[in-house]
Amino acid sequence: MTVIEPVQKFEDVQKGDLLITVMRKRQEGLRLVQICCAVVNNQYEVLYSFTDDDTYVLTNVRVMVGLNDTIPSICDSYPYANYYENEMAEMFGLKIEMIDGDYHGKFYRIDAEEPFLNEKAKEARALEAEEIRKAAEEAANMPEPEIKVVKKEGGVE
Amino acid sequence: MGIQSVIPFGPQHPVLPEPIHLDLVVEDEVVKEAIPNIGFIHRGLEGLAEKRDFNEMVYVAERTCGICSFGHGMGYCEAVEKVMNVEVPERAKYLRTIWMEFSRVHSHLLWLGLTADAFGFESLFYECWRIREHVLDVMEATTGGRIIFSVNQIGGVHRDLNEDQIRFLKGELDQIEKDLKNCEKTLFGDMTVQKRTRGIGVLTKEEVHDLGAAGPFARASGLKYDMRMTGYEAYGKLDFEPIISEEGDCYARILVRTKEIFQSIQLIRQALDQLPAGDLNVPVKGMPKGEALVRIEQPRGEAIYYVNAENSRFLNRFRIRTPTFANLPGLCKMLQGANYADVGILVVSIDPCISCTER
Amino acid sequence: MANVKRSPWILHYDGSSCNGCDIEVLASMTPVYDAERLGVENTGDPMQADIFLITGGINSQTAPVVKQLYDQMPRPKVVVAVGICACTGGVFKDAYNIRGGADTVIPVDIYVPGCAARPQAIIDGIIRARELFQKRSEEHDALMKEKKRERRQA
Repeated sequence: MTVIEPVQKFEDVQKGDLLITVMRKRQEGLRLVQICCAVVNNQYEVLYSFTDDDTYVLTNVRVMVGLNDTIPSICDSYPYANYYENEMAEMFGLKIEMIDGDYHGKFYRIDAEEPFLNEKAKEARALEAEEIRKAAEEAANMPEPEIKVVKKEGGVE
Repeated sequence: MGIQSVIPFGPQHPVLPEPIHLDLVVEDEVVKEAIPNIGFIHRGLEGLAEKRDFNEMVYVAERTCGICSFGHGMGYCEAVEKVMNVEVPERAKYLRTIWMEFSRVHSHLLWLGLTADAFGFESLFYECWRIREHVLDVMEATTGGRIIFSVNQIGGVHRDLNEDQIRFLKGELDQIEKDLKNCEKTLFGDMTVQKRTRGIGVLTKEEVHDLGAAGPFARASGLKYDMRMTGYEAYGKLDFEPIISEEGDCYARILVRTKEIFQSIQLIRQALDQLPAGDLNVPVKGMPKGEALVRIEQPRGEAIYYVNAENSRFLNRFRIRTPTFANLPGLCKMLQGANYADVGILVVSIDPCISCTER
Repeated sequence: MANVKRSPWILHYDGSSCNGCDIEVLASMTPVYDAERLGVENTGDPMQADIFLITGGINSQTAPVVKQLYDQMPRPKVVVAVGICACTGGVFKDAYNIRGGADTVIPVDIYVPGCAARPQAIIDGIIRARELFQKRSEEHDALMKEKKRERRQA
């Protein structure tokens, strides 16, 4: 069956909805064809592409991830996604947890450290990390709130 | 229980044309697990997109791989043309289709020769590569290059086919078809070929789908998926069906690829008959801005080109997802439980193009 | 061409190449171009090889492999760098993972440029390698004879 110029769909999802969206795609019988990462506006843009074998429709799921954030691995739904995820972790410094078959940054064993992250993005990432650290310190140093126990006269309230 | 030993396979091995390292965990001549280690051919050419003008990046994209060279150049040009909304003229589309199909014929003939070499059939290896020289003569006569053609540009092509060249092309096609028909009897009838390939490395249709495999590797297990059916370039006007086989072993893969060579010869003849007159390219002005995803069918399977541009001479991101990257998990699955003596032919049967995988 | 005295064997290895020069090297060995009529044979064993045909640039993964293959080959040996990537790094010279051509790791004797190098150029390189190999093995033979004489006199 010839499908001339099949449809390409783009869906934007939040980081928290990533796993359920991918599980739905698995349920529909779609095949994962690529995971691509790019640095756009000091954020990681991760694009997951799925295709339907019968209609050739390409569904792309886009997730915007902060430079210091961590995203979960989709290896539970698609076991062979580990190659794509290892590559992204090594080339971009994107933090992905629970990869099944994690090469820990030694997939291609290149000399350069995170070659696709340019200087501007590295500085922005360091600044963001600093801000997160400061916010965590302030939250730890805040005084504990006073808890007053109020007793009511007579009877249950 | 036997003793397990880890045998390194590659990167330098007589059967391997390209370096890939596999750690094979072997117990009593049976492979239990295969762990791939790649990175020998990683050059980082996607990083060159930040240093090269987007018009010149074609030449770098073409040199991703020497065998699938034309497909990479064409895919890159299509992706940038999609971003810039450029409509390529009809004649250029047909010319690209003709050269792409010649590229497919040469790649499959190369693979047939290497497979024959992998199980020791040297004379068949020489015969396939001799037939392949006809294809390379055609490429040299029409584009000037044997392996790297450099005829694609953003907006079309910059070489044309005249009447003499078309007559020469048709003569060479007839010769290739005749020579290959003689080889076919050996390929499909010989007892040694059958013994070495039947029942080896079987993958079912569900396994191939779950592993995300692509191209003739998947089609040999019954998965009917060929990107040419989506009608990019001039494929929408040509009449053909994907070739599939149900058995899923190494013999089925040889069958599918040989039949695809004959199918490609028919497609070239159809395209030559329908070749319209017209311009070769359109001028391209301005900078690319936006993103695009383009999928084409390379000889080894489906290749995806992603381009992200931000209104500058240099692209923000250029990424190729090559078919062998998708077929590697299938290889690891096939190697589990295989005999150590069959490792060579199993590795070659996925048609590995490691330089495509690692870019 | 000098008298035929030796029949050197070839070891072909792909460093970090796009594979174009490799298939041209193999095409030079197969019918139509047929370098094998010169007596050279493509072997997979570095310990039996005399001429090392290397293609492609060098990255940090490939460097130890190439060095090991070069060290495993017995002397006298000749190294031929096929293709512009093996000569200088080629179009990937400023890519982040390529160090340069083959001469960053091993000493190269003959450079064959081209992208991809044509079979005619490769056969020219093999013929020059053969002559260089003949010269080197004659020097090696003379050296061995000298050493034997010294040992006998001692």
